[in-house]
Amino acid sequence: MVRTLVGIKYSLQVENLSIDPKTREILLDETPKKMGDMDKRALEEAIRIKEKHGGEVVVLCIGPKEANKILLEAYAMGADEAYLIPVEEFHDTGFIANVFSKFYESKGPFDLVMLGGASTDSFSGTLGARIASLLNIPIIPFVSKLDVENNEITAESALDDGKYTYKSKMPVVVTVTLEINEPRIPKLKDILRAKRKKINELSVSDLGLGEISDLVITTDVKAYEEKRKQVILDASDPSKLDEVIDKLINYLKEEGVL
Amino acid sequence: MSILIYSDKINLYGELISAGKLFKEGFGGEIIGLVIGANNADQVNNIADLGFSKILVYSSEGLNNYNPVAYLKALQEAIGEFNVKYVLMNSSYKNKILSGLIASKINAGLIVDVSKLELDNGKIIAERPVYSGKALAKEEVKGDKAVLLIKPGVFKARGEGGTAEVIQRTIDLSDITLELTEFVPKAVEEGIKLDEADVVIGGGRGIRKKEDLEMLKELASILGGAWGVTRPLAADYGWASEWIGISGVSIRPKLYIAAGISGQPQHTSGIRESKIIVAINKDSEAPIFKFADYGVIGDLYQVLPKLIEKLKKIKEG
Ligand SMILES: Cc1cc2nc3c(=O)[nH]c(=O)nc-3n(C[C@H](O)[C@H](O)[C@H](O)COP(=O)(O)OP(=O)(O)OC[C@H]3O[C@@H](n4cnc5c(N)ncnc54)[C@H](O)[C@@H]3O)c2cc1C
Ligand SMILES: Nc1ncnc2c1ncn2[C@@H]1O[C@H](COP(=O)(O)O)[C@@H](O)[C@H]1O
Repeated sequence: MVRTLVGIKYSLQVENLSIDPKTREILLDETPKKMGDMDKRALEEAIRIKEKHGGEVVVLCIGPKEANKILLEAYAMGADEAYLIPVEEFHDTGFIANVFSKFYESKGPFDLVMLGGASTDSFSGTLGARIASLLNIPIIPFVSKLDVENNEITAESALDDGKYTYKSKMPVVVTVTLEINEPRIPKLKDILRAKRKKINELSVSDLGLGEISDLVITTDVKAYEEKRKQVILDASDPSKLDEVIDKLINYLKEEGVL
Repeated sequence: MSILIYSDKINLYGELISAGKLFKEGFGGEIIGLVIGANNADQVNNIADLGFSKILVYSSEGLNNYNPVAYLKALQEAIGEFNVKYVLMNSSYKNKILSGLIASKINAGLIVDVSKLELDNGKIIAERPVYSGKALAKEEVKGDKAVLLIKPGVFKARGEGGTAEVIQRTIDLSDITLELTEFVPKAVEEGIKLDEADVVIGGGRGIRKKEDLEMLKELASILGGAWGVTRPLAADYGWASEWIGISGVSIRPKLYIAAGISGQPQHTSGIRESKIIVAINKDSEAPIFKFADYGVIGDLYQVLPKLIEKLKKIKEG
């Protein structure tokens, strides 16, 4: 039996960022959002572990109220309990880690914490480590393959210079990469059934957390202006190819990069 | 008070100490270097004259390969002993984990992927790319401790001479329950490394089969550069051991040629620092053209061979 806590973030869809053309500010309200790509794989992996070894999957999202949407999606995929801790403002990973760990302590014991290797929008890749640190349990990060047996987990971490295989007793925090699995697409009947499930809401103060303040604040976010020259050479007609390549080579010489 | 510098690549200590000096000017204290693992311990001579007052070398057996929990213990010990307030590291996946672990232990503000750093009247202000590299966030540290992960190339390596006192340390790791059972290093491609190359030739899903990567390799060799791919070619097809982009390697060459790459933000975030970008794509609407200085609309199976042919002639004189 494995009881897993999965963290999912209500993330911006970075492919569809809505940008104010004048100020370059990101229009957060108008940008569509979804469950993070790696978070979804963490959830999928937790469900697979439950299917194999029995147990329970508890999902937690710390985010705005509309994040209900991805918690219903989590139910449809097979989560057993979903929790939302509503926060309206943006917070740093230190804050989120504090809330997350408090939740772990109050709803535990858990055998496993599963998170995405990095969130789709902020991509910090540090939340799992911060939670492990606060809970004083080991972390196996950026896992592309894992195996659970007798209260022990063996997992392969894809890191900068190669593949590391780690073994740890549970409880442990595991963060996953995109390669670990292909998440299931819920069937219509599961989606309909999920709609009837209850999303539990807890407030930060319910958890008995005193004042926690962010140790990093974001003062400004602006979309990059793409300042590339964007000189287009058309070689879709093969008879132009020779001429186009000569032109390209000349440009590159002028730029001093050949 | 001290400033601690740790890198998982020996050649990046030079850049990090430049950042360290900024902190020393702003806050005083001394700059201490931390080296973990026996492999790196051999190379301490290479960094002893960069301007550290001390270099701490931790080289117990359990530290020879990366174990985040064991490395944390070394880091924590160093921070406690020398009253460290600021920890500076290079941005890497391993260090993201280490930085998250230590920041929560010492209750410090944490900023990763720093692409610009300044001190403004004692305020630590950093910039970092967010939203898959489509936007730039300005962040400020509150409180009196910070852990910062700095991207390579943000600071210039500036050694200052001097001789650091080298202090050898071992630690007891018997309480570490995370066990590393195997390490398989990445197959190292011959030649120039992607993140250090002056020219990079990149290929995406427009490349139909593995053998066709030869075109990239040939062009790279003519121009004295490296070749790389997008994530699907490496992670899904297994044609390469690493890829360019936000979840892979960031490159900063003088010239990047992207062939058969659509230009999704997760890829383009890793090529932003390139000086000149050339895109070759048969779809005139491909987003990569917005990201390119020179765009060639065309079939890469015609464009690349022609480019190779002409460049070869030029290079042969
Ligand atoms: C969390 C996350 C992290 C990611 N990290 C990365 C990352 O680090 N790096 C990365 O690369 N991707 C990453 N991705 C994947 C990314 O979103 C894209 O799926 C990927 O970059 C697309 O690769 P591509 O351009 O090769 O393929 P496609 O998007 O399929 O584009 C292929 C292009 O080739 C062109 N083409 C086809 N045939 C020809 C021809 N004969 N001649 C010329 N052009 C041709 C097509 O017009 C098309 O534009 C990540 C995704 C997620 C969700
Ligand atoms: N607000 C949140 N609520 C729940 N889980 C989160 C939240 N933010 C991040 N996570 C999880 O932590 C992972 C890493 O996030 P990050 O460190 O921000 O890149 C994500 O992939 C999620 O699984």
